[in-house]
Amino acid sequence: MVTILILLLLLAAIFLAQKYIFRSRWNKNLDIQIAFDREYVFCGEDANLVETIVNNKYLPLPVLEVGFDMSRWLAFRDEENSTVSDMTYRRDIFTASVKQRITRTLPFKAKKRGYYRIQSTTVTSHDLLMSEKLVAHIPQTSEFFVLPAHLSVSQIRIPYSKIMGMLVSRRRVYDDPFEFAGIRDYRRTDPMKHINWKASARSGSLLVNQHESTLSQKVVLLLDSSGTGSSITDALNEVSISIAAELCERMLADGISVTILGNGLDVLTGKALNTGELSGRSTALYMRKLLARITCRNDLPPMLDLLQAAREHSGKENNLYILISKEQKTRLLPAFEALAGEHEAIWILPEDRNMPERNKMTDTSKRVEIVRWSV
Amino acid sequence: MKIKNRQIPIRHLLSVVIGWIHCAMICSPIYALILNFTNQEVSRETVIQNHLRGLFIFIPVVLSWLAIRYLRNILLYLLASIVICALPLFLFGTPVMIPPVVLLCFLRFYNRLLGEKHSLLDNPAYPALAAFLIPAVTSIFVERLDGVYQHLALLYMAVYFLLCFIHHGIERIDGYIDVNQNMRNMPARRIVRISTSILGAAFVLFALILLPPLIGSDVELRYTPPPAAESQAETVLPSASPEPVEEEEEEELQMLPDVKPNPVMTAIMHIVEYAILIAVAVGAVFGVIYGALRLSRSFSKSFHDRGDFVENLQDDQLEAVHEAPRVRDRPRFLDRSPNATIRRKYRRTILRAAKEPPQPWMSPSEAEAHAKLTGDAAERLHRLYEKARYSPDGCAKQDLSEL
Repeated sequence: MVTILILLLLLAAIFLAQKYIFRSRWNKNLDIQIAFDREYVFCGEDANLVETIVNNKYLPLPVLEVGFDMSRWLAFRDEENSTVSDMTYRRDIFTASVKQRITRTLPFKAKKRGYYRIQSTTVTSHDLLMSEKLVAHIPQTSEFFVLPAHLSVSQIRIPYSKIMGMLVSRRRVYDDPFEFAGIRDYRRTDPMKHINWKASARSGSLLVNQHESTLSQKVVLLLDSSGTGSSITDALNEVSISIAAELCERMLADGISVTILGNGLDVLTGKALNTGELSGRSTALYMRKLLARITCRNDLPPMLDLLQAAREHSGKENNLYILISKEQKTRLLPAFEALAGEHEAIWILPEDRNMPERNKMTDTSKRVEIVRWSV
Repeated sequence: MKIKNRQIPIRHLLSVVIGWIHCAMICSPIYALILNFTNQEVSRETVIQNHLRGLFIFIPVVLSWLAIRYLRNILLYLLASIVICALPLFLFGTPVMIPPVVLLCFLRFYNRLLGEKHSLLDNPAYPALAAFLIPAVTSIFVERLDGVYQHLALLYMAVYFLLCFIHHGIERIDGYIDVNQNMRNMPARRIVRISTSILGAAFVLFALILLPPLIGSDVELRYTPPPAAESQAETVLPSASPEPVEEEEEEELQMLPDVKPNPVMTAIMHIVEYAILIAVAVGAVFGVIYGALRLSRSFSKSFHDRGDFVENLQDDQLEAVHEAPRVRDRPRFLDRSPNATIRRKYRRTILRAAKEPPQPWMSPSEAEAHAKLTGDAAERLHRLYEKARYSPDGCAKQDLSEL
């Protein structure tokens, strides 16, 4: 009888011991990382989510379920393991033998511009005899930018040519005496102060200095992001942001300083969009990331307020103002004219191609050139 | 159209075979018991033979299973059942085993009508262990039954327990795979491989623990009725019945000093001996697993499996991956200083208030927010905890009075 009792006790002890060991050790030296294979993509492009499981101990995990939630605008190519509602809830099953690293790559498509984060992972495991479920939460710090979509060259050419035309016309009038561009022969219309006397003495004929006109090549872009809910409003907002990104990138590449102001809120800081003065080709990615982070909402401050604020803060700089707004109300036009002052400005107006003519803005302005952009 | 033969996993076959064996195992001791009552004198060897012969019921069980599985026509199945029910007559030479076979065939037929997949008799269950107690308990009270029934009952129970264990384990694995079969990239093959390996190792371990002592045991219990008042009743304990000892031997024994071993010490020695054997068995099982693992690792360092890239971490890589173990800065058990007391109190308060324990990375404020601790008492506790935990001077005895 003693033997039988010992046997029963021993069996119970072994069973409880494996349970205890598994409970206390299963998530030790277990690392789960969910990361994107790149930092950013453009809207509409494909990328990969990489799940990495490292079980760095001598305890096998027969089953490991990894669950996390992610924005539904990042759509996985295989939807079997995902439940899509307000978010995409994904559950993947792994198994890890002792001392193993498992890597799984999940391709997805970036369907909408934005800034996306994966903050937490829920890991569920079953014990060695698969009789008990154990759950743990592992924090994650993965972030991903879906940058505003590229626009085709043919689309952006017209507004960009107009902008460049305006900048070139200003360049003649306002040269920067500190930005030396080169030397050329003297013409009768050149002021005497531009003559380079040393170079003239060396060459024997009058030569004048040429100057760049960077100070006059500042562009302030005002971006309207208000309104959301309907598909057409969302589409117009996204196109507005894409136009802003595309124009800015081209201008930065051409050596023009750009500032973007907008009423859209940054998802990280909660403040309205203000890129500060950007210059140089290298700031284009930073600018696109800032634009990726802005949210379009219905309760944003109206564009009129932004124009008035910009007017109050503008000094005597000779900025070229570009407004990108889908607003068809005429009261925005006088405010924009007032901001532009004596100079020319451009309003890029994205609009629904099916919009009735009677709803469209009919006003025109001498100084503000309105460029309509059908979506 | 080319029809591809579907491969049946070994564990499915094993599960079905276990279902057959469990039927045979339940019927066999009862068969031996009935034969013992119907025959006048049955020796110990005959009892064991009857037990083994009773296992032949396995054949009708298998035939019945094959009949219900492969005979789509119910009339054909009924005809086959009649033949199967008559089979025990030829196998055992007695109609004793016909009723269980009839019951089995009927249950299969009944399940076919109801559309159920598995009959009760195809799945071993832990409560069925009680069936093995019937002959064992009967042998305690009935004098004419040999004590070997008890011995065999324990052995049968151990084997049946192992069958149940392996059958339930396979069912759990298959259940999980079935539930998640639509999941993409599910490494079903590797899950089955790892979990069945663990199950197999546990089976071997349990078999090593259970079977050797039960095979060698000599358990025999007897119920002795209380002695009648007028005459002394004879004790029925077989061990108690003294054998006649010759007078000379008795004298020799009387001359020897009393060297009877201490029963407690004997039991302890048995336990120690058994524990050592178990430890050796456990070590051997894990040694074999570890050796097999190391051997397999030396052949393949990484491989692809259903979209997963699996890398076996080598020992030299482990150090790079392995994080330094974090030593939790907790007050020691014997530390009764004000600092330790306040920290313990803080920990207890947080753990009581929170539904789930706070994460190790949480700061005190985050932990309090997690536990939803508010009010003056919480603020006081927070202040004292920060003083105890982070200030260079720590808390004094006066601080304890604030609590």
